[in-house]
Formats: sequence, structure tokens, C-alpha cells
Amino acid sequence: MSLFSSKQFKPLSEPLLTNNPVTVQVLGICSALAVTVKLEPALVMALSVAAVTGFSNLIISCIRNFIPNSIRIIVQLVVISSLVIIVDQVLKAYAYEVSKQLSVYVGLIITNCILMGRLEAFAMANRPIPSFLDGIGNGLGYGIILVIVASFRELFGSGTLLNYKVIPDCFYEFGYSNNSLVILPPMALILVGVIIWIQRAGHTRFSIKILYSIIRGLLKAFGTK
Amino acid sequence: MKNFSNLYIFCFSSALVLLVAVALSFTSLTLSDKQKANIETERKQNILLTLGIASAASDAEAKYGQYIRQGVVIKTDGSVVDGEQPEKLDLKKENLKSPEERLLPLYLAEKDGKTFVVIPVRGAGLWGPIWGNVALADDLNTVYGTTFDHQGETPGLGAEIATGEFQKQFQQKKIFDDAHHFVSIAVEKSGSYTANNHTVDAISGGTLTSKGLEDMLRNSLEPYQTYFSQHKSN
Repeated sequence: MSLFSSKQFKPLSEPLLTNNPVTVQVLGICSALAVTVKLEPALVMALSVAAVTGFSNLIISCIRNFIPNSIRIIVQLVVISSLVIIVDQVLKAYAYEVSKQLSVYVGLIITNCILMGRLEAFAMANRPIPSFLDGIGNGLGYGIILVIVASFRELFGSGTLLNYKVIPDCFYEFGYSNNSLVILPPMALILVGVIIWIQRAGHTRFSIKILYSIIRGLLKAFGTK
Repeated sequence: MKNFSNLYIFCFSSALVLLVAVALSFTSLTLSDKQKANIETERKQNILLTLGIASAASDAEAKYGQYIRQGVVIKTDGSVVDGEQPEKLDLKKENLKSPEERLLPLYLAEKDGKTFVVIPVRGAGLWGPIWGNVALADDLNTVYGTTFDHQGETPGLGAEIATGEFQKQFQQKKIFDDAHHFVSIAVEKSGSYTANNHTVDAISGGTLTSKGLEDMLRNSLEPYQTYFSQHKSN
């Protein structure tokens, strides 16, 4: 098997769409609501999460055979939290403005379910390189959703993208105004919901399966008396 | 999964913690200079902001040099202490000292030919420290601008003190009444007072932070009274 075969890259590509941590596994929603008002913090958050998932997966995978089973969750948390602290320190030194905007949410990467989920589900059972790719893939899969939601919210909420004015002034003269609902957290939830809807509508088999199980459940509840 | 002995688990966790500690202290040490510089730049930006001058991190240094004439440290009797730099003072410690020993920082600024005095303030909010700067016009009575910041006040409630809208209220308020008595600026529930020169609207739902801010202003500005009365007459 060559190093760059498509199978090797499956852990990297799969979480980007077909097994996206936010829209398919529905993890990490909380921070997706909080940091997506503007595009810039969302990008930084996406990169931070990708770095933490990638390297925590790599480290845990390297030492997976030495971790005593009874304390493995503690070991995973220690690795995750130290990586998050390092990311936080780096941001404070090199992206101070953004780190102020992200405030507590950088620290809260520790509690992001994607991290623990990937460590338990993947890194504990796979070799370092695929684990690293899986971590990066999941981080980026999370990041894609963040960026989509954030660009929508910044464009329609503030009329800018990355703080550059996108919507020209003449629009405002004709009575266009920024939608302040988009700035509020509920809109992020609605947007994530819409993205999930669109994605699942594309996967007909997936949605039919869900529909089928719902109908079967209903039939069971009412029909078979 | 193998079964590990207790001794192994103990050694493994100790080694892990040790490694992590080394890695974290290394990061913290290598980055601390850069972080301190960022905080210093932010302090300068905030002082400039009280004078209504917006600055980016890149040009804060230059603008600070352009507008801020001098940093002075004084005592409560209004005398200037030589050899002290206001940047170096730790307001947290100074606030705890007795009035005679307390050192007070202030910055003299000049904008469009007018002089201003910027006073750093510090106090306690609901969850942690709050701090800021108050710029006074050359009558040493009228507030020209303020900035406030906080460590961990509730977002949407107490944290609103850091927003421009809240801070704008302080402009043109006066800290002395008509009889030249120090009254500071009160933060009151709207509707419970008649609008005057010494009160601003509190934040709904952020009562304790608002009260903390009011106390901060009174406690921080009061010791400057003597200095103000000495320099007002000149």
C-alpha cells in the first residue's frame, strides 16, 4: 500500500463531508454558536481546533500502548488541556485582538466533544499517521461549518467579510439594512440546522432510513394493539 | 488491553505530568515577553481611547507619544513623587494602602491645544476585577471620555460596561457639584433619579457590576481631590 493511496486519506477526507462532526455527528454545536458572529475569530477557532484535534490524536496514538486503561480518560484530558493552553498562549502572543474576541471559548476547546470522541473512537485504536490525519480532518470538518456559518452571519449581520465592507453603500441608500437577528446566537443554530437539512436531503438513503424508522416507531406505538 | 500494575500507573502519570509541566512552562516563558508587550499596547490604546483617539496595535505607540505629554505619580496631598513611573504602579496594591502612603498615577495629555488628565482606575466588579481610565477636561471636573474593562463579568449583563454605548454616557458628566464638593459619578437605576450631571444609567441585570463601577470611580478619583483643587486655580 503506497503512502498516498486514497485509503490513507480517508480519515482526512471523510469528516469533511460524509462524516462531518458538526452536521452528521452533531458535536461541538455550542462553540459553533458562540464564535461565528465574525469570520476572523471563526477562522482562528477552526485552525485552533484542527491543531488541537490533530496533535492530541497524534500524541495519544503514539503512546496508546503504554496508557493504562484505568486512567486513559485522565491521560487524554491532560494531553488535550495542555495543547489547548499552548494554543491559548500562542494566540495571546501573536493574535491578541482575536484572542480577546474568542475569550473563554479557546479554553472551552477542552470540553469540545469532538476531541474526546476522536481520541476514544480513533486514536486509541489506530496508528499515529492515520490518527493525525483523522484529527486534522475532524478539526477542519468542524472548521468548514464554522466558516460557512460565520461568513453568512458576518455578511448579512454586519455587511462585511473579514472586516472588509462587502455590501456597497448604495444598497443602504436604497433602504437595505443589516439584519441584527443574524448576529444573535439563535440564528447560528438555525443556520446549522439548515446545513444539516441540506446535507441530509442529498443523502436520500440516509434520510429515508430515518423516515422509515420513525414510521415504524409510530406504527408500533399506535397500530399493533 | 494489558493489565498494568499500580506502580506502573503511578510512574506513568508522574512522568506525564512532569513532561506536560515542562512543555507548558517553556511555552509560557518564551511567549511572556510578547504577551506583556500586547497588554502594554492595549493599555496605551485604552488611554488614547478616553481622548477619543482610535488606534490600531501598530500605530498605538506612535500616537501615544504624540498625545501623551507626561506620566506623573502623585500623593494624596497633591505633591508629585519624583522617580516613579505611572506605568509601573500596581493599582491593586495601591488601593489597599493607607491614604498617606498611596501613590496615584495620572497622565497629562494634549489634544488640539487642550490639556487633559487621564486617570487609571481599578476596582471590583461582581466576579472579578474591573478597571479603566477616566479622562478629565482641563477644568479637572468634566469627564471627557472613559474606558472600562473587566475580567469575567457576565456577558450581556455586567460585561456591558466594556461597550461604547455605556461608556458614552459618562461624557460631559461632572465629578464636582456646584459648590465644589466631590460627588463622583453615580450609576443609578433609570427612572429612580432625575437626570443630572452626576449620574448615569446603570445596566439592567448588572446591578452589582454597576455598583462596583460606581465604587471604583469614587474610591479612585477621591484621593486626587487635593491635586485637582491645587491645579484648577492655576
